[in-house]
Amino acid sequence: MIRCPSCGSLNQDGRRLCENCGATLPQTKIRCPKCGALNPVGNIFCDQCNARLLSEEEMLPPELEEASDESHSAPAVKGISLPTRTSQGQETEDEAERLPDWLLDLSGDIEASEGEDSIEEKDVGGAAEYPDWLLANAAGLGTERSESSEEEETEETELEEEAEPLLFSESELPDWLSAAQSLAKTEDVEDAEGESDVDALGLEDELLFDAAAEEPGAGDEAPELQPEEASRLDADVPEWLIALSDQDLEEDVEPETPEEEVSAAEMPAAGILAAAMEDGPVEQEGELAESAASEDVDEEAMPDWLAELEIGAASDEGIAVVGEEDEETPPALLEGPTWLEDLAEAADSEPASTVPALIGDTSGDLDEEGTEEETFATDEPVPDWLRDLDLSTAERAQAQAPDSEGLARAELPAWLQELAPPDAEAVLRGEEGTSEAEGLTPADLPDWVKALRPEPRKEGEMPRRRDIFVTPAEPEGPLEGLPGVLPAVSLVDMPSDIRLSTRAEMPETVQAQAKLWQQLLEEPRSRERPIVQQRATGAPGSRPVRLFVAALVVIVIFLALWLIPEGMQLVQTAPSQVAPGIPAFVEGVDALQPGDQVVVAVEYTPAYAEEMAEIAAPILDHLKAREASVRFVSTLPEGGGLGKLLARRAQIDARVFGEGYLPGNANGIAAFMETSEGQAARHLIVLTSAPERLRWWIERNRLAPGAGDAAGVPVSVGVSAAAAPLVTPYLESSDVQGWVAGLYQAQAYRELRAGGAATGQAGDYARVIDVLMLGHWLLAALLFLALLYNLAAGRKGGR
Amino acid sequence: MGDLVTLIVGAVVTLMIFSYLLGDNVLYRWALALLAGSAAGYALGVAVRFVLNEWILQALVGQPGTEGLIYAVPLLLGSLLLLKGFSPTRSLGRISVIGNIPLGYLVGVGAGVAVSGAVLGTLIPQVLATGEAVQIDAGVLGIIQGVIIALGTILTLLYFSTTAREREDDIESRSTGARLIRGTGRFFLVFALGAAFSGALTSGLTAMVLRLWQLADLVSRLIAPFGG
Repeated sequence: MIRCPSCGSLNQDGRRLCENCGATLPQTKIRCPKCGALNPVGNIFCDQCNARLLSEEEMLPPELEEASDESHSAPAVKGISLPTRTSQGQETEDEAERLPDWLLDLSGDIEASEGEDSIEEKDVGGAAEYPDWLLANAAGLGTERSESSEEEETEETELEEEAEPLLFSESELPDWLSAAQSLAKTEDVEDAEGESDVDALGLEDELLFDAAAEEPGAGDEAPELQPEEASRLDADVPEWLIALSDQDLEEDVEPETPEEEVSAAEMPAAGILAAAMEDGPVEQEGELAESAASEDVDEEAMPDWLAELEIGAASDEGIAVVGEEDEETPPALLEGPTWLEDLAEAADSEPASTVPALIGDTSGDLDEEGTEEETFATDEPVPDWLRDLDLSTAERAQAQAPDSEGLARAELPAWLQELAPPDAEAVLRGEEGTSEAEGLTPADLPDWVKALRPEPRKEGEMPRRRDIFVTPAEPEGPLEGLPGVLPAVSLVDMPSDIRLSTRAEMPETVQAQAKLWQQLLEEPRSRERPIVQQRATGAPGSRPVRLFVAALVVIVIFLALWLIPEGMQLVQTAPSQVAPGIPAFVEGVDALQPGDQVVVAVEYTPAYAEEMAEIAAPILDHLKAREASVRFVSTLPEGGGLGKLLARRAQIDARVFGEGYLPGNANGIAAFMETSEGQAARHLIVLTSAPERLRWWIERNRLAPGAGDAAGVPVSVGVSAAAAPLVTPYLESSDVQGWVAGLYQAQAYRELRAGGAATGQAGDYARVIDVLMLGHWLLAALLFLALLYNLAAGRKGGR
Repeated sequence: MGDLVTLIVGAVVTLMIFSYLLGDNVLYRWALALLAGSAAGYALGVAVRFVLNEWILQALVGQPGTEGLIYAVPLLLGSLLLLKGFSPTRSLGRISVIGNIPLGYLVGVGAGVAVSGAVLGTLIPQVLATGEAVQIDAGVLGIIQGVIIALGTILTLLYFSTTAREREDDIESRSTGARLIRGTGRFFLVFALGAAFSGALTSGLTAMVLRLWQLADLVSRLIAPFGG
């Protein structure tokens, strides 16, 4: 599994992108056998030293490219179910990705260590996955081949590319038989001129069921040896083997029918195999014959199929004969034992798989008792030597093959081996007592590590998510049972010069922000913050214009107040036309009975006291005339004082509720409306220059207790000229009975009460209104001149 | 005499404010500080005297038994609100966090009251008033006025609803109808703002006229003994 460096999820080996987040996964690299640099899988030459990463034998010759494609398109040879090395570059890359890293490194190490002899290189490089005993046979074979001519070697090399699975088939054969095959090949090379090694190796090809693979129908049925074919094969069998075979058959089994011969072939020649393994590889035919003859194997007769195999290997003519029959029925399959037939059937029925499943997924199955043999015999036809390479069965591999130690040690890179303690080799060999003898004691796990040890799941309980996606629990050692402790990413490919750094890479913007925050935090608290004061500055030459305009307005207004005679009345007002809310206001006040309580809300600041006082004056005069009981309230602290000022100017006996202050803004209004003073009010007059405070009063009055469907207490409004445009929707709604906006309408209110005639005090206000109207005209003229000036200046600036 | 002194002080302060026409100066700032300071001082005096002294303390003392303890709640909350005066960067800044309790209470209650009032007292009545503005029997001018009011209200609201961040290359991609709605709504909005500005100008001009009228009255009183 490959752990994603971005999100941490686990991905299948060989994945380039994370299945969870899509991030690029760390890929398996190829270590250069020369300089040790890590290269991408697709590289043929090293990026560092330009050395060849893949041996030339692993590259497909151009002339065989088409044939190789056909062989790949056809069902792969899986009779023996060994990894078949492909010769095409792309296939090599795919195989490198599929194969585990440790296996690739192992292959590379072997190639680097044995590189002088080309034939040995090819064999060893190709046999990096083979056990040592098989490598030894392969070396002997290569030595014999070196004696042939260079041309033959080249041709042989090319042809062996196709016949390379022979090595795997040899791995399934006992040593004595491999030696016999070596002798057969040697004889073929020396004696059979003009005949290619394809013929010499034809028998082995038959063993690999190539013909059966190309013709699936031929291998589906269990082949039976016909009597004619058996007799023809007998003619090709060497005498020594015939003699041995006849002797065995006479003493043990006398097959009368071909079926009985096949059954006899299924019997293992245990004695012969054991003797051959003790003697080791036989290099000469005579020695083989002597060895076979000297063995006391009368009781363990060699089966016929083995004898015929030997015949086919030793006789060139026999090879030709067998080769002809190959197209119809694989002779090897015919003579093969039952287990070989089973493997052939499995090869026909299962898809191609270059990597044994036991390396990855089925290792656990191998540990299960009672299923191992069955698995290898039927579903997973994997030889023992490859089973020994399985890491999960390392102990068994050590017990069975001492050379597996070297394999296990070869899985580690050189830089990792250097870091190994002195007694690491002893530990690898299983001599665990060595470390204890040197005083090393088992590691004491801290409590927090022990706390991570998962509790065994109960029967039927579903595995937790963490148990599924986290690295499986350690099978042995002090961390036994702890999942997720060791990283899932293989460390074999980690470069030797890697430096782990805890410093996170931060963008410059983040670093700048962090630096700024640090500076702010380290800034002394007593340090005064700079106050940016930007004074309004006009354009050059604007001050004289401003002074001129101000002086002009002040002088004109002042002179108007002096020069306009009383009763001139520049503005002839028509109250009913200019102020539609005034008549309703007047009618509402007129409807009051003497003694009725009227609440007057003073909701303006002292800045508007001058204007609001002139607006409130006619209203308070009206209330005084109606002998109403006035109560001043305000949500502003200064409202009470302004209310008292109004009462004094109007010369009315008014009271100020709670000193006129209702804290809490809208809440204070709501609380006041619930009091006896609020519920006793017959009319509500709001004097305000702030639109929001008028809204509060209108809203709270509608929601006042006892209002019901009615609009509450009748509300009249006196509003400043500045706030009038903003509260016009409220003034024109049904919630407001009447309103007075600005000084002009206040004067209209007076005139309406007086029946359209200006009284004495109203005449003074009439002159003020005239001056105000004059000021409006003056300001309008100035604004128009300013507009013209700006237009002219704009044109000039545009030029 | 008191009125005359008040009139003179008012006239002097008015002239100090008018001095801003000559630019920012000490007199203008002094008058401005006097206005703001007097308003704040008056508000503080009202709060301490009437709210704290007369309402809460007298209620706590005057109520028999434990009935007055309920007034301790606003007193406690108000006291906690004073802790907000401590700067968070000072040594006692941490205790200012306690002031968030009454502050949250005020904000929460105020928001609740504002929402209910806005919906029942403003939104619904305004919608009804807008609908009532269009009356068939109001005559031609009445109908036109009602339609203008209704369209102005709707288009102004649509202007805010169709307000999006403009990009130079995105303006042309808007449909003609959307641009027409935006333009009309913006026209009504600018028209309303212009009316508000005119109201503010009128209020300012009114205040100035009244101030100058009082100054003229003062001058008349001052020159009257000399035969003016």
